[in-house]
Formats: sequence, structure tokens, C-alpha cells
Amino acid sequence: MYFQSPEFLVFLAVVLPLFWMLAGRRRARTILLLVASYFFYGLYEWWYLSLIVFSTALDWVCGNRIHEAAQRDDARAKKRWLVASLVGNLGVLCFFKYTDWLLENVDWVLHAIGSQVDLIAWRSAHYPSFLTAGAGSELMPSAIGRMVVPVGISFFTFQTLSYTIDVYRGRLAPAKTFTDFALFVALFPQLVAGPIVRAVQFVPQLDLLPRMDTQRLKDALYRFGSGLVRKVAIADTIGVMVVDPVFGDPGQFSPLVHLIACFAFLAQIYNDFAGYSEMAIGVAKLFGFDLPENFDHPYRITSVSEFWSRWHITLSSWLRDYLYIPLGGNRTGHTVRNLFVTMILVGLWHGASWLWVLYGSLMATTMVIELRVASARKMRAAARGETIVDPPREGRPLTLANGVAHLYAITFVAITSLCIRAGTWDTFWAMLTDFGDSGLTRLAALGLWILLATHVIVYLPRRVLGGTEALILRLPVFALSILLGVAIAIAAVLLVGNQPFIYFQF
Amino acid sequence: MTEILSKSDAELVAQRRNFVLARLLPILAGIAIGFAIVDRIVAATDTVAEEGAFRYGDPLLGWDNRPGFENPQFETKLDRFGFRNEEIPDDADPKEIRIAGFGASRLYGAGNEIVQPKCWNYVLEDLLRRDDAPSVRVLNGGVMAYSASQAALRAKLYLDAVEPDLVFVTVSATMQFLLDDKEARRFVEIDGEPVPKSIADAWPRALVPAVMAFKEFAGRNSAIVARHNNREMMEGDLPPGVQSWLYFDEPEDPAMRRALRTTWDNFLELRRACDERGVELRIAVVPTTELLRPVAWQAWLEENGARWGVPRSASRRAPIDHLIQRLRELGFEVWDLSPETNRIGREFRRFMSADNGHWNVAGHALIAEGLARCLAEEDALPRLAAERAAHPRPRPYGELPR
Repeated sequence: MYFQSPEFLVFLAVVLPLFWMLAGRRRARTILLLVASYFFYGLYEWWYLSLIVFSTALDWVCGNRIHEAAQRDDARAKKRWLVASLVGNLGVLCFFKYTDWLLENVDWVLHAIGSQVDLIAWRSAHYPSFLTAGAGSELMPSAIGRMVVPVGISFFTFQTLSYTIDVYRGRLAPAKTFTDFALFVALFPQLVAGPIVRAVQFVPQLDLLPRMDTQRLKDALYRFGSGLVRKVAIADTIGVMVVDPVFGDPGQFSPLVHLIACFAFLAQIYNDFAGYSEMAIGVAKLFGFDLPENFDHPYRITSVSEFWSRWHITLSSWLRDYLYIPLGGNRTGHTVRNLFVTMILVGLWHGASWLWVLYGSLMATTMVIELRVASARKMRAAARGETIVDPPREGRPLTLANGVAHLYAITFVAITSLCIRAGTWDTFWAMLTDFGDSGLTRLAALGLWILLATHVIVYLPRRVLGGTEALILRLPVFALSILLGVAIAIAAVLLVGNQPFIYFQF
Repeated sequence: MTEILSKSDAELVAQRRNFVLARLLPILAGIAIGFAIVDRIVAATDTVAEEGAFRYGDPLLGWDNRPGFENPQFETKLDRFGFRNEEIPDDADPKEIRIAGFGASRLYGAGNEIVQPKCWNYVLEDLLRRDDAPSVRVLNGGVMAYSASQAALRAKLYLDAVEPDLVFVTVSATMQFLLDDKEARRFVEIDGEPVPKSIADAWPRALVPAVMAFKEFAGRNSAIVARHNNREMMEGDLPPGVQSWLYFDEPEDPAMRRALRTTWDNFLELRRACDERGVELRIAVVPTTELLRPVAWQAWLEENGARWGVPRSASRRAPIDHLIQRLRELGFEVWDLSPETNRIGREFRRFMSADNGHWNVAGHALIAEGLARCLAEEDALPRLAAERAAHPRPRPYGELPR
């Protein structure tokens, strides 16, 4: 069930009043939301529920056992239960996400050394039918035979892991009840594509009375409407009208169009994912919950490192806190290794493919270079007796240096996004080497105008964007509802089929 | 955690609950108003929205025209079989010649400028009406968004009901016409009612009747929903790559080859059924928009040619010639309406509706002239009249075939 589908609006229209009718009964409202969340998730595929229930039960048990072991100072037992959680969760995640990739790689190696073993045929013969993606249409035979990656598995696995690790580190007490914990894992607004919420951010909210006032309600409506427009009117339109035609047939288009298509994909994936996050935050607000922000103007950057502090913040901060810093971060002299491990895992978290490994490696390489350059500058400055202060994230002066730095960073991010969108090495190479002479006129004008507008918005001063938002939020709830209706209608007019959110596949 | 709230907490919760519940209806009303504003704008600018004309869920056809459907906006009044023509009267001449055409939206007469009495079949009837000639009735069996395969199936289904003397099915070299996509007409039966599979999959069973009722209501009253329903039928979820396919040869993709085979099979089935009943069958080849104008053809070639291995020098005639050749190989008699459609291409605005995909009044008249030309070239009317005079119909029309 997608947020932009009529089914979701009906689902919301049923669950929201029920929730508020039960608002005074903590247990009842928690159970209601849990049942609703499982229903929401089960509609994708009912058997997916077994995965989320397994992950929830595993970490519930592990969390409690770790806590008990901590109370009796049994470090070995603590570690044992932590390892059980890691193996269980990552085992399920890896099975669904990486089995096909592993088989395909082994198959490639076997063929390369002349073996007759056909692992792909073996896969087709032995996968149970419910594990494989069916053909949506007789005329769309793609993805037949591959194992389906359950929607949201990467997100809820990281959520449950953060819980167990935080309990292990003594930063979090176990959740009071199983239903509290289960709801933390499964809360439907953020279940399938984040933000990745940590227990420490969410579970305490369950003890609060559900919060609601005029401002929160307006905020919720605004965030949902804005997310919807970003997803359908911006991301899908740019995707269908600009990105897909070029990536679908690179040989037709000139190098300039290829470059523009990369920038178009940046706009598409940002508005797609941020649109989902906004809708998730808006819907959660309707139930009185606050979810963490996932983006902070990720294209207003002067370095690749900065990009990762503004893009998919809940994932990058998760990896920083649970991987990069435990590995030693910048301090142990293994910065290069730590960055490479973290960024390659960022890639592999998104998808099982060598293109994602390349993506992570390119990011890591660039971040290492940036780190070295910054460090060298600081050392030179120190030698001169000067101190270099890190530039502010907002309100940077319009200098040539900042402009060049921005151009470098955004172009790098755009070009590396080829690894994400290309999907196959053939397309990847074709985008880099196979050019035709068709120009922008071959692409739909509407898509190009929307693309231009989204890039203009990136450069608008924060006060302009904030001021517009404040102006809209000053409207009465009824007027805001009319605007939401307009947003839904515009989305419905522009809706092209049922385009899934890009991040659902991760 | 406690289930017992303090008095102040209980009051606070009640206050917040009442706050939300009191605003739910105004919020829904606001959303409805906002939606309606955009919907009316779409209604004012969109073309073709005879949504209520369809009866969904036919196990054979997927969807079909609703018998007796009326829409004053386009002076539409479908007959008892869902054909877009006058009712066949109970006292119809048993020796009248009946020509029935089957096809998609163009044949049905889609387009805002077209009212029913201006459709090709009315014009053709007028053209064929001569004092010294036997009476001719022309039946319009077009249905929006049909493939040629569906058109053939529908023609076969109604053979006994309307007892035509000559049937023609329109076809073009495009995906919509030639690739029979069963996914586009997948329905399942729930409580005796046909339901699109997409709805059955998406909604709990108990809610399906309400969803279907709402879908029908919304389809009739909302331009946005009607637009979606049309797009869903026309394009389904097929990737643009497949949608851009044109017939040059048997497609390489096995699924597409299977779909094309189904179309030929349904044509052959129709011919068998016609032969059994002594009905003459023609396949009328009517090129679509991208083949009408050199500019549009060049654009198609540039955009899609490489994907399908079509050289940039390929002639606009090529897909049509390939199609005609294939139909003849299969043993069909073919009417080629290219002279008329070429003229439409030369004087595009004169003959095409504002949606650029359907004929306007002049276009329908021109196509009717083309059909009359084809009939005249083979001197069909005297032959059909003689055949019918020898075997007059025992009844004016048969039962609605179900």
C-alpha cells in the first residue's frame, strides 16, 4: 500500500479516528497501531509478516537477556546475546538481499573456469514460488526467477539492531512491553522506507499522552501534502519524462543530455525519498508521534562528506554511531579503512551489486581525499600560526571558492548516481561512452521545466523557503485542507501508474 | 505504564481527542473541495469521458459497451447490444444488408467534437443509400481501448445476434492493436460480480463491493478518475518501451511474440466462425497517428527506432506494408485505408480531433468514404444483397450473447 494510493487514504480514514477514540487508553491505542501496522505491511505480502515478527521477537528476547546479563555483570552472556541478535537479523537480511548476488557471482566464476554447473538454472528450479518475484504482466517478463527482497527489511533490521546495541551499551533500558517494542519496529508510517528511527527516539513517546494541537495538525497536513507533490508531481514526472528515456536508450542522446539526466536523477531520487519521508513524518504527527528528519537540503553542499551529513541522515548517523565510530572513526589512524568499510556498507545496504560497491568506493575515496586536503590546509595554516574555522553549513558567502566547491561536490554526486540508476553495467557504460545526437528537444518539456524549477529551489535562500512554509502554515486548518485536496488532485492528474518509491527496493 | 489517567491527563486526552475528531469532517470536506476544483479544471480541458459506457468484467472481452447506455453530451445512445447506432427495429427488412465494423476508440467515435449521428457508420449508411439499391444497415461495434484481438472476439461473439453480411475489423501496426495483453483485462469474480484483479488484490474482500460502487460513481463524476480509468485501460502497467512497439516483423521477445500469436489466432477463429455462417470478413488496415505525418514518423524513428532495430531510413509505409503482407499470408482479405489516412496526415487539423488521436466529424466522413470505396472496388453490395435475398433473416435480431 503506497502513501499515494487511494487505499492508503481509506486506511488512514479508518485508523486515525479509532486511534483518537482510544487515545486515553495506552495499551489499547498501542495494540490498535500495532495491528494496523501489521495489516499495512501484510498487504504487500502476508508472508513478510513472519520476517518482522521474527526480527521483533528475536530482539525482544535478546534485549531482555542482555539487560539481565548486564545486571549480573555477565559480560560474556551480554556479548552472546548481542551476537545472536546480529547473526539473526543480519542473517535474514543477507539471505534475502545477497543470496541472488552471491549465486550470480559464483556462477560467473564457475563459467569462467569452464565449469558446466548452472547455478541460475538451479535457482529457477529450487526457489519456492512465494520467494520469487512474479511477472506483473505477460509483456513484462522482467525479474522472473529472482528472489524478492521484502519491502522495508533493510530499514526495520537496522531499527531492531540499534535497539539491541543500545541496550548492550547500557544507553537504553529494554522496552516495557512486547507491544511497545513491536510497535517501535513496525509503526506503519516509517516501516517500509524510514526514516530509520531508534528506540531511544520513539519508545519514550509511547508513554506520553498523544500530542495534538492546531499547529501540529497543520504541520501534519502540510508535510503530507508537500511529500505527495514531491513524490508524484516532481519525482515521478522527472523520472518518466527525463530520466527513463535517457537511461532506457543512452545511445540516442548527446553527452550533455546524459549529464542532465544524471542531474535529473538526483532531483528524482531526492524528491522521491524526501517525499516519502515527509509523508511519513506528516502521518506520524497525526498520531501524535515525532519522527526524525531525514534530509537537510542535501544538495546545498561544498563537499561530498557534507552530502552524507545531509542525505538520508538517519542511515548515515546510524552507520556513524554503530559502525564508523566503533571501528575507530577518524582517531585511530585507520580513517581510510574505516571510511571504506562504512561507505561500501552504505552501498551494499542499498543493494546487492558491484555497481553499489563501486558507488561506496568512489564516495569513500573522495571523502578520504577531502579529509586529507582539509587536514593539509589546517596544518599549513597552523604552521603560519593561523586557525582555519570550518565554514558554516548555512549562510555561506557567495564566493568563487564556495561556488567551485559546490560545483565539484554536486557534479560528483550527480555522476556517481549513475551507479544507482544504471542498474546494469551495460547501461552504466552506455551512459559514459555511447552517445547520439538527440538533444533536449527529444524530452518532454514539462519534465524539463519541473527539473529546472527543482534545481532553482535548491539555490533559494533558506529564509525564502522557510517564509513560504510559514505563510502556508498560517492558514486556517480548513484552508490548508483545501490546499491538500488540490495537492492530491494534482498528484492524481500526474500519477503515472503506481510508481513505487525508489527506496522501497532497498 | 498505567491504564489509569489522572484527572488532568484524562481531561487533556479528551480535549485532544475532541480536537481531532471535531476537525476530521472539515478536513475531509476541505480535501474534497480542493480536489473538486482541480477536477473541474480537468473536466473542462479533457476530451472523451464516456466512462459510464463500459461494462467491466466480461470474462472474454474484459470490458464491453453497456447496452442502452445514453450520454446526451455526445448524443450517445447505444443499442441493445452496446453498438453505437440506431436500434435494429423489430420490423427490420429481413433482406437488408448489414455491415458491422469492429475496432477501438476511433471506430467507436471518441473525441469531443463527435456526436453519435456524425460517426462513420451513419455517414456510410447515407453514402450507400440509393433508391435503386437494397437497404443497408451499418453497425458500429467499436469499443474504447480495444485491441484488434478483443475486436475480433467481440465480432465473433455478436455474429448470431446481429447476423451481419459483412464484418470488418480495424487494425493498425501498433502495440495496442496487435499485442493481446491479457493483463489488461484480468478480472476475478467476487460474489458473482466481475472485479478487476488490481482492485481484488488491493482491497479486503468485504470492502470490494463498496470500492466498485465508488469506482463507478467516481468514474461517472470525476474527470480525474475517468482519465485514470482510461489510461489504465489504454496502457496498463506496460513499460513505455513496449508501448512504442510497431509491427515490422515477428517481435524477438517471447512474451510479445506470444501476444501477437494470440491476435492472429483470434483473427483465424473469427474467420472460421464467419465462414460457418456465410459472413464475409475483411481486415481494414487503418494507420495510426505516428504513421500519418512525416514529422511524427521521424520523431518516432528517432525515439524508438533503435530499440526495435528499425533503420532511420525506414519508410512510413513499412509497418503497414508488413502488416498487410502478414494478413494476406494468413489468408485474410484486406482493406487498405491508407489513401484516406494519408490525406488525414496531409490535412491533419482538418480531419483530426483536438486530442490528436481520433477523427473529427470530417475525419469520420472521410473514413466512411474510404470504406465505401473498398466496398465499391469489390462490388460488394450487389453480391451481399443477392446472398441475403436468397437467405432472408428469420428474425430481426437475436439474443444478447452471454
